[in-house]
Amino acid sequence: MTKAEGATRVDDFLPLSRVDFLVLLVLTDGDRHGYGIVMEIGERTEGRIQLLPGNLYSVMNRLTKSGLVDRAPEDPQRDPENRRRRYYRITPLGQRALAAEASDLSTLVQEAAARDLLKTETPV
Amino acid sequence: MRDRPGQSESLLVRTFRLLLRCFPQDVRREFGGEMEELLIDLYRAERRRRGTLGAMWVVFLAYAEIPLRAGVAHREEWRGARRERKREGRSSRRRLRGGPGGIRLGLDNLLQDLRYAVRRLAMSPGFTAVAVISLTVGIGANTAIFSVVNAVFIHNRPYQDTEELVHVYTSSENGVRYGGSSYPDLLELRTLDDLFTEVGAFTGRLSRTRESGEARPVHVEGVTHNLFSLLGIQAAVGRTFLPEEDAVPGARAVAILNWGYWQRRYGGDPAVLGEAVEIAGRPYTIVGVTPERIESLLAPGVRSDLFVPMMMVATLSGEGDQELYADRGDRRVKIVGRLRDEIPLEQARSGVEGLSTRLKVAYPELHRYRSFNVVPLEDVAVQPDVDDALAYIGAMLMTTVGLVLLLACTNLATLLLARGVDRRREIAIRLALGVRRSRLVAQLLMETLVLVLFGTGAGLVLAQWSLEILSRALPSTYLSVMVDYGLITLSHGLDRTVLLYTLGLATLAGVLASLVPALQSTNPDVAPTLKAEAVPGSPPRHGLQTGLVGAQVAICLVLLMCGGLFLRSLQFAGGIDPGFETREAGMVWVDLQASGIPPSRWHTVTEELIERARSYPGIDAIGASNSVPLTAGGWSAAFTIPGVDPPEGWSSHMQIFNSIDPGFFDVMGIPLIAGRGITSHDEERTEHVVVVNEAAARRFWPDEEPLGQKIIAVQSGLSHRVVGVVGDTRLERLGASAECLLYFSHAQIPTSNVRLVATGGLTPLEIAVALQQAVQEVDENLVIVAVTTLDEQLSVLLFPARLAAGLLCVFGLLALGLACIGVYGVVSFTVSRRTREVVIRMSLGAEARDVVRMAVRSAMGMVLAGVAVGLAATLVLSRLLDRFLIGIDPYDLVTFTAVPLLLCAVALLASWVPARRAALESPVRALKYR
Repeated sequence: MTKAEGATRVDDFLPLSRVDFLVLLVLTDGDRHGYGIVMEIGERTEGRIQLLPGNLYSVMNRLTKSGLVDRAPEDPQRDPENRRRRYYRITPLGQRALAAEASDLSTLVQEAAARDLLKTETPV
Repeated sequence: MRDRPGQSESLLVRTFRLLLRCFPQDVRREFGGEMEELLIDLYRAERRRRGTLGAMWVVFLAYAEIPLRAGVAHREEWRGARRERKREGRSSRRRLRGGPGGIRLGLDNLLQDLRYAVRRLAMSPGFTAVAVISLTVGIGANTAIFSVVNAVFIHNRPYQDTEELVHVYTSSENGVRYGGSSYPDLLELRTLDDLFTEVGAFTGRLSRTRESGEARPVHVEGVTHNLFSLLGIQAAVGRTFLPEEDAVPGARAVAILNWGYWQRRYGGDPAVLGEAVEIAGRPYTIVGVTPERIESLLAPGVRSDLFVPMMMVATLSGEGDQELYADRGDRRVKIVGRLRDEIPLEQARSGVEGLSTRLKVAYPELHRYRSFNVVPLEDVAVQPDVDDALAYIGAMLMTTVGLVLLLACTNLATLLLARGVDRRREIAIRLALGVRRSRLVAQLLMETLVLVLFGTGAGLVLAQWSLEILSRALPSTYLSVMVDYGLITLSHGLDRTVLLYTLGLATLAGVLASLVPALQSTNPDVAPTLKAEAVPGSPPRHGLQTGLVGAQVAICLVLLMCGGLFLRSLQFAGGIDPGFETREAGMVWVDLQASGIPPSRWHTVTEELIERARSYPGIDAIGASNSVPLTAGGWSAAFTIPGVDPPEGWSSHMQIFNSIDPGFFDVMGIPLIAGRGITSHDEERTEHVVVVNEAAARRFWPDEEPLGQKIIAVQSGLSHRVVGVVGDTRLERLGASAECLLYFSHAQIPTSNVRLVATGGLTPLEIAVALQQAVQEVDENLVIVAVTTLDEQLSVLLFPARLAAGLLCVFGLLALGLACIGVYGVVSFTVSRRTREVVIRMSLGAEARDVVRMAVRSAMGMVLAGVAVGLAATLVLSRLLDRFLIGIDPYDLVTFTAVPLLLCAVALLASWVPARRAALESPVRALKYR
């Protein structure tokens, strides 16, 4: 029995790990295949996070089992050159979890801003 | 050309797939394919962006993380299962010890070690790169060479009950012990049915076929109908030959395809059975296909395209072969027999000896010097006469690459030792805190394991590539023509034996390189280490490291010296006068017999070829001969010379000869010393003449005038008068002294092998192409064996020396680099360990120069010891190299002086740099840093 069937409470999934968060975020723009997800995360983080096959699919395994992400139905028109590629899409539960995590993060960021921490130029 | 990136990608995927087995099965099934796709996408993207090295780094990281992620996936699965059990109220009471808990702890430790190892390796990419590259080169070179050796010597023949199979060779009057036999010999041997259950035979021919309207040479093997069943080979498709198909000469045109040929030409289509394949202008019905593993019955490394019944062989090459089945003198048949169960080898030998004696009585002329030799099939790699030489070359190559692997291991061990020293403090703290030594050793071993894993993977890729490069690097003459047409395969690829060997090698490398450093670095005296090793004047403990660097220097010296000897050989070869002036000539080699031209027309066709070629613009001079100087392999025949006794035990003189046309001496630039050359008046019906070279004149008539002497060909009985003497040419080896050589008129002794040589206003290659066109214009069915230049002929002879010099020097320089890194590392380490002592000495008045001298002296001690060991080893090895060296002594003084000096100079520099840097450092800063 997967978590999706057993529990729908968003809080069960929080806090999301950085990579889980990024994957869900990328999928809100539309369905993506593995390579697309890796490229987009690379771009968004300016190359600081590069996902490799073992890591990405461990994450995808976890996210699909949790019901946050699902496989997109097959569409031969989408990628005629490479039909082996499978696409992923975010589920409504995934969107709720992402929103909840973003809201938590935003509260934390505001706390940090209130203490003038965002002005420093220390690299993360 | 094959797409190399495509091949490397498929190798990446295959290795990756192997690693993916670490994942739980459901994850693998669900995501395995996608992970492979992603790896290739990333590899390609990274190669576009950062080149192959960058891409390989990403692949390295991707491989490295798989065991980690897989471990996590297993743990999650196990936790999921435990939660399930708890939910069902069947909570397990088994805890940490025993049962799944114990396994979990072990797995967790393993995962932790793995993660830690990968993280540490990723943190020092320089170390990781050097270590992986050393191992890659070591394992790659060994795998490549072993796969060649495996193909020639070990490759298991897929025959049935191999121990009962024997070769039957025939010795001959000129001292050859393992020669071919005649077809009548086969029939005689078949009468010995008390010894053999069956006797079969085979013989190879170069012939021609037609592919898309074009004449192509094919290698055809004629086999007796029983040969396949004798060896225990079943056809993969269709059937083998029937007795009635091998009963009457030229009657049944049936053929069996070689598996590779079937794949290449027919795409492996089984419907090909019953179709016709054209061989030598005649359609043959295809009746079967050999199994995949049978390339040829002739020898490993040779690939036959087609098999036909023995009774069809004579029709392949026109009239020349008609006597094959009756002529006891035609000895191109190879015989194989299967001994009866109860017959020991000795009994078979004496039985066959009896037959030899009977034949000597029955045919005294032909069989006087002949006898049969029985040799078990398992004892023969290629042919007993050449096996020894091949084994010798194989052993040399294996020794070289063995040294390279040893070097890689010592290098890795040195690096690991140095890292161990870096981490002594950390390790001492952990030991003091109670961590078990076995856990620490396991952690350090894991690091090496990961390195070895990558070194092995990359080594396999390197081996595959270098085999391909090697087969391309062969000089493009006869041999590479054979390779181009697929007649010779260099390797059987990386089969299971080779992979097992590599696995063993990798394990050995891992154990050799890691165990001692791991044990040593986890055994520090905890107290002094924690006290920052503050024991003034205590001798530095780095004996093992010093020894390893000494070993590296020794190995490096051996490789460089052997490479140096070959380089000197090449240098010497460049200065040898080959005996002819022309080098800028193009050449075409035509086989008239394989083209189906009867012997009666060989000379006419050759004349036609010369006339046609002469009409080409840009060709000024042209000549023809059956062989040219400096081509490996000549043609020899038996002659008697009145007044000159043949060598001891021989009935006649076996002499290398050339059949030439009048233009040959001119086009080659071979000088006429006395008398005249071959002219157009030396025709079939005029007096038979011969021109000898100076070496022959000196040997046969040292005190007489050679002109006017007689030479009689044994086979034809014709007498030839010596009409001229020409200069010597080097025949096969540049360094060898000139051999005796006889030149006949091609009109009087026509040969089927014709090499047209031409010079003119074009480049040699353009001339060669023009010659090829001329040949095709005369008759498009003529089989062209090679289109080449005279310079390329030279490169064939120098190829072994070039290959050896290239390999040894590359490995030697690599070794030099590694040894320098070693020396540098040890000196830096020694100096840093003795900072306190250095500072005290300097404050007491010692100068920087003294400090440098002290550090360099201690480093040069180990270098000199290494040089001494290396020199002694080279003295032994160079004697074995003697037969491959051209014109220089195996103890060549230049090499034996220059290389050790060069090595010492480089080592001196490698030790001086860090010593000087340390000596110039401010004492206060040095102590503060400590």
